[in-house]
Amino acid sequence: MTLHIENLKFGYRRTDGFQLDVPSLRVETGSTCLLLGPSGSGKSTFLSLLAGVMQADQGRIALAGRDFSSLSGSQMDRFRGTHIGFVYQTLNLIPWLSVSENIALGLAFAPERRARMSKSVSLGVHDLMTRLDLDPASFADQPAGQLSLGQQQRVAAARALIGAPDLVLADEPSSALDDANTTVFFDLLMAGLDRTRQMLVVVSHDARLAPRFDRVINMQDLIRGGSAA
Amino acid sequence: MNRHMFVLLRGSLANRAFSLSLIVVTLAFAVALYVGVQNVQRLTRASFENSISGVDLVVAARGADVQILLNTVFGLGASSNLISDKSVEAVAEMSGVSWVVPLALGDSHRGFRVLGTAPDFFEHVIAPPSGNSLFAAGTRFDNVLDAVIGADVAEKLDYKLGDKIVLQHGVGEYGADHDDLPFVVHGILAPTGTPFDRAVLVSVEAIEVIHRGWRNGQQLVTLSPDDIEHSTQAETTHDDHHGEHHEDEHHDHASAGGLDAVDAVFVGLTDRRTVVRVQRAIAEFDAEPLSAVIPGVTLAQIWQIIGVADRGFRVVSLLVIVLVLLAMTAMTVLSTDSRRREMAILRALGASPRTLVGLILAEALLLSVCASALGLGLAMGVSAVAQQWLTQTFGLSVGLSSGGMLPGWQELMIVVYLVPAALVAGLVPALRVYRRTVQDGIMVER
Repeated sequence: MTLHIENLKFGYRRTDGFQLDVPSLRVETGSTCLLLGPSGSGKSTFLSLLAGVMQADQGRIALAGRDFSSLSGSQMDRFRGTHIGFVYQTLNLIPWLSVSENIALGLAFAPERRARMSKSVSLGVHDLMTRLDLDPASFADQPAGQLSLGQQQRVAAARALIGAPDLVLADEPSSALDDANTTVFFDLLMAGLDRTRQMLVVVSHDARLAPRFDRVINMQDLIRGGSAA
Repeated sequence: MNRHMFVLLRGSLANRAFSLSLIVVTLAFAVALYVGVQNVQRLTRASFENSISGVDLVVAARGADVQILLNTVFGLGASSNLISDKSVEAVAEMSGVSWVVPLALGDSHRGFRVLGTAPDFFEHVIAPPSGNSLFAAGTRFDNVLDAVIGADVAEKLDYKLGDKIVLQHGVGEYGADHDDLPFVVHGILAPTGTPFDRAVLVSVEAIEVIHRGWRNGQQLVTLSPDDIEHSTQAETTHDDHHGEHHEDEHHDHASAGGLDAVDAVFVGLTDRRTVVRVQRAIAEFDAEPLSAVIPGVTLAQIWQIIGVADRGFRVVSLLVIVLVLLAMTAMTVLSTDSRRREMAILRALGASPRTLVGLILAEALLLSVCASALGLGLAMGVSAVAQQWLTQTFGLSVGLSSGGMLPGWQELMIVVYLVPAALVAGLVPALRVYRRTVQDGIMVER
């Protein structure tokens, strides 16, 4: 399983001259990758392209051997649900669903991902909660909105990890957290990652995270022209 | 819809339980209003069309069906012509005819019309409200100057048994009083829900007696109650004599009593299925031009005219439902606007815009089904209570026998219309969500 980008061009039609240009990028199974750049550097755009929500003007993005441009809109939605786990900067969760329901929601639109699991959903949720240091006994049935920010981000990580999707994408997942929580979050996220079948791509402006990753790519190297904002 | 979707829908609804239940309750009230209006409409119509359910034919001098019925049953308009005693007898003797009850109209009492009829009237024409007796007090008339008054008359004029009442000649206020021969209230009818609640019933003989000595609305001779004793005796004997073809003794008076002509005759048949044949036989009667009206058919025609107001109510109650649906749409639009983040998350998890549209529509579906069920229940509860009250107060018992409390198919049809209408109402926010999720993708900075 790899994430493979070739000759990706985006933003040709934009008037401000901002343009994303990735001649070649390969992320291999088991590896972790940090896309480093200040806000407004086109990170979100790039992430949307990787998640298949936006379409490139040129070039190709392929995950697990599937070229995104060969998939229809609804196929891409399903592909994303099946192969990609996603963590936002903040407000990841449906606040009125319980913690365990939020985690299980990672499988809601991805029956294949559910089928890949060797154990039951509730057992998988239980395992992930334990691994992400969220005591199932006290948190499983709590509404997600009542948790602290640090806990919420870990629930989001559990949701992205459940059913072991090929690619875990995270958009500034720790920027709302303090240093202690950031450390805990990445420690647990990295530990929860199945290195035999998953890869992790994190977008951040925080250069201090760099040592944790196998590979660091500077967003500046992927952009030409103006600003993405 | 899989389990997760169900969890999502349930959670989303539970999260907005308060505002959603307000909408459901409002919609339920609108449904109940509609169903209630329909129910009342159906009941009044049934009550109306069953005004004289015991009567198979109304026979009068040739005229328009509607006019004949309005005159004989509702006391509106006037008779164009009378039917002679002989014709009444002939009708009574026709094959298939079980009984005839004569009707002499034209007098009134303080705004209520007076019906001259035979004692059989109380047996055949009006039915007591289910389970009750026909008379609230007293009995049918025994003596010539006995009167039976309808429930409304008794209530409005505050009459009790034994009260003396004076009839007026004619229906208007200008009518001269028959004050030489006052009647005695001998019976008070329980409410029947028919126009006869607003009538004073006397015997045909009495009508004849009080008009003795009158010509062209002018009183020429004044009588006293003593004068009539003998003459009525004589007439009764005479009736017995030529009334032998009748099945029981009460039918004696059917042959127009002491009058040589009456306004109309209510006819009962031995077999209802022969009604068309008897109707034709009467229409083809040689000696006198007669019309025979089937009450149910003509009452339905009259309803077509007077039912307009009812239809108006129904339109208004439908509009109320439409308004509530609009309110529901507005609320859903607002709620989906505030659920933008939720939608983006679901998109990131692999939900297609179509799925999100499905969620919104499922919500509308669920709300409308709940509202329909609640509204129907509400309407049934209310009409059950109302029914009891109507029966006790107005004797509108007809609904009970025709399943008044249960919503009929017509009322259930509202569900068939409401649910799709709610889905259409849900389409507006759903399409907004669709458009926006495609624009937003998975990134919403909030």
